[in-house]
Amino acid sequence: MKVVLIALLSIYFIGCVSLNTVSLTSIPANRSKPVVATTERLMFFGFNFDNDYVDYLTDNLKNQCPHGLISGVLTKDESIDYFLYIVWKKRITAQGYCVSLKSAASSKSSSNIGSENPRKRNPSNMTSEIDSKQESVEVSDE
Amino acid sequence: MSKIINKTLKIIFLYSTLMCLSSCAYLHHVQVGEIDSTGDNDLIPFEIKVSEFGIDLNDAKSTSKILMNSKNSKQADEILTMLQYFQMGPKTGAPVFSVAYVNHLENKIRENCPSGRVTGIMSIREARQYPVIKGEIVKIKGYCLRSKKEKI
Repeated sequence: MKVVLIALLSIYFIGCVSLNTVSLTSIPANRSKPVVATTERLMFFGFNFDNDYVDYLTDNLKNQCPHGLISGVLTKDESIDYFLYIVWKKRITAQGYCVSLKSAASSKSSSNIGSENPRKRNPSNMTSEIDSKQESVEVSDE
Repeated sequence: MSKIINKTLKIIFLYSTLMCLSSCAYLHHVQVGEIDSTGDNDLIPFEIKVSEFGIDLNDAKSTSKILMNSKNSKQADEILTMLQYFQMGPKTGAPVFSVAYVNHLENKIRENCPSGRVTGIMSIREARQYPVIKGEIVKIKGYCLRSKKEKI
């Protein structure tokens, strides 16, 4: 009986980290300055009353690259189990590359060459841009 | 006498479950976009939150077991199991009545940032978990790029 219990427990303790979601944005050519921001919360019995700890992730990342452009952002969402999911941790990691103003400008000018419709701002698709002049999107409530 | 004790125990159990589960937050997914701090721009933060009611039928089953007698709870269990056959398949969080609540997100971003120049978009998919009822939430946080020359 003891052997079975120990075997079961040892199997359980092998997989103590699980990856929930991953997302990645376009990776820049200049990858000389990596930046990383991590936020985490320790939970007991899964009790968690808010997710505000995630809100500072972008600010943290932005502060590491004050006058540059953060690109190639890999966001990882993982759960780390310490003991039978009684004590576990949720960890969000965002890592990317800080592209300095100069590099960003050069990539901007190089992207403009040969393009039929050069964009007025940030042609390298590094920032989401919603064209305010485009036609309104039809939205229907079912 | 035993009936009274049983009822009291049921009420205490239900109350303690309600207290424990009240307003538990669950994080499903986080995605951080690119952040552009270049140029002569102010980064004005904005936040958008949309939500919809979801119902967890497994919670409904366990609640019916507490609140109803065995015959009624069995019937309720069968009905809820029947409903669950129509909700099979991969899903994030509890099923909701309509997924149209996320359709207005783009328009809401436009409202918050009329210039349409946004950066540092972080999309969060989370849920507030109450007994039986769940609040399925989508939150968008980001920065609106505003030129320092522009009038605020």
